[in-house]
This record gives sequence, structure tokens and C-alpha cells, in this order.
Amino acid sequence: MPTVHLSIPPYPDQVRTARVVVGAAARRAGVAEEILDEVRLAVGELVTRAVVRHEAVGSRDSVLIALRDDPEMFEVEVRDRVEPGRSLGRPPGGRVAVTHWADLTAGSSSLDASGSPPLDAHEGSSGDSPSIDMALALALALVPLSETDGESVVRLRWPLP
Amino acid sequence: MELDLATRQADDHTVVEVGGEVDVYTAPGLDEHLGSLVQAGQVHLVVDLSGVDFLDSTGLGVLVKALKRAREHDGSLDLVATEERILKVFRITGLDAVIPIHVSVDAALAG
Repeated sequence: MPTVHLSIPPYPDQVRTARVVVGAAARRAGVAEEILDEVRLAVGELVTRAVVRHEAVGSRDSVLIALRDDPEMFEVEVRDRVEPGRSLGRPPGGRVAVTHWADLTAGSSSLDASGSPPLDAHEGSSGDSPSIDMALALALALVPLSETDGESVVRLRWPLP
Repeated sequence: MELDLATRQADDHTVVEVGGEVDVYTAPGLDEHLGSLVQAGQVHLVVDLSGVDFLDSTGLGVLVKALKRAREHDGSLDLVATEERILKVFRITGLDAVIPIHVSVDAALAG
């Protein structure tokens, strides 16, 4: 299928738009019904993170989302537009998020990122391993991120049945 | 899209029924509501999430904040949730071990 591009204004009331549209696209692509909630949650978390990053530097540039699917997988790419070199500051007591890339490939979906900080193992997301990507997405929003200057691209992938 | 918030008293507890989607846009409204209850001395809160279709990390943050505020005033926070999609968010973040989650308001009040 051709790539679908979405351009989401970086405001909190638009995060729902992203969830709804991506959820509908995932369903159309054939993502299993029981995974759609996870898709919506993960995408919501990533777009929320992007909106917060834009707010932090006063950027009104849109958050860019690209949706791709082939017979094997449905992919969501979320790209924020925070300029390289714009410091977001380090939150007091903040620590760097948070994942274990090796674990992700064992889950129901996989994820890669560029422009993101060095990532450490995330504790506390075990026990629900099929949804570890959702845990990651939650973690990205739950844990204060630092050293994320520059454009950030995160890709989430879900297998198609 | 705003949240539906309905508040009622049940014995010494204040029950807040939440309906809609709790996310980065709507969570501040819930935060403000729960904060004003605690400030008004209603420190034993039961937040009923049965009518919530979606809850993200922003919503979790608001609930954790409410728990801390209630405890600072010797109060409590209990949740009611039955939908798997909501329960899962608490489970994968480990917050189900921090905030008591009940199957009904009656169960929360009895607990």
C-alpha cells in the first residue's frame, strides 16, 4: 500500500485525532482487533511526547506521522520537528528512558528509533511481554526524557495476521 | 472532546465517575477536579473509571498525583475499573500494586 502521511498540529487536543486516524488505518490494514487498543495507546503516547517536545521549545511545526503496511506488517512512524541544537533542558532528577531493544523483537511488534537517547533496560514492564512496545511507549511518556535534542523519529511495527 | 465528571457522596467517601477519554488534553480537567475535592477536605476518593474508553500515561500521572495529595491529608484513593484495556495500562506500569483497583464502587467502599 502507498504510504499515508499525516500532519498533526502540535497541540494536546489533536492527539486524539492521531489516535483515531491511526486506529482506523490499522484496522483497515488488517491489524488484529485485540491489538488495536495497543496501537491507539502507543501512538497516543508517542504523539503526546512529540507535542510536549514541541511545546518545550515553542514550536508550532506539525508532528509528522507516516503509515505503511505490507503483507507482513503495519508500521507507524512518528517524527517530531524539534530543531537540532535546541536544548530541552534536563528535568530535575530526570533519568533517561528506557527500553531493551533486544526484548522488543520478541514481542508482538518491533520498534526502532533514531535521534533518541541511549537507552537502558526498562525494569517493570515484564509480565506482559506481548505488549512490551506499549510499555515502552508508556515509558517514553512516563519517564522524563533528556538528551533528546534534535528531530526524533520513532517507528512502531505490528505484524499482520 | 471533554471528560464527563459526576461527583457524589457515599458515606465518608467521595465518588467521582469519569466518562470519556483521559489523555493529555482532558487530563488537566480531571487533575483540577480531584485537586479541588482534596482541597475542600474530601480526602477519601473513589474514582470510577468504568465509563472511561481510553486512558494514557497522562491520566495515570493525574491519578498518582491525586493519590499523593489524598495521602498527604490522611486520605485515600481507590479506583474502579473493569475493562481490560484500562486494567492493562495499570498492569504494565506496575501501578496496580500502588493504587487499589476494584470491580465496582460497592467493592471499593467495602474495602
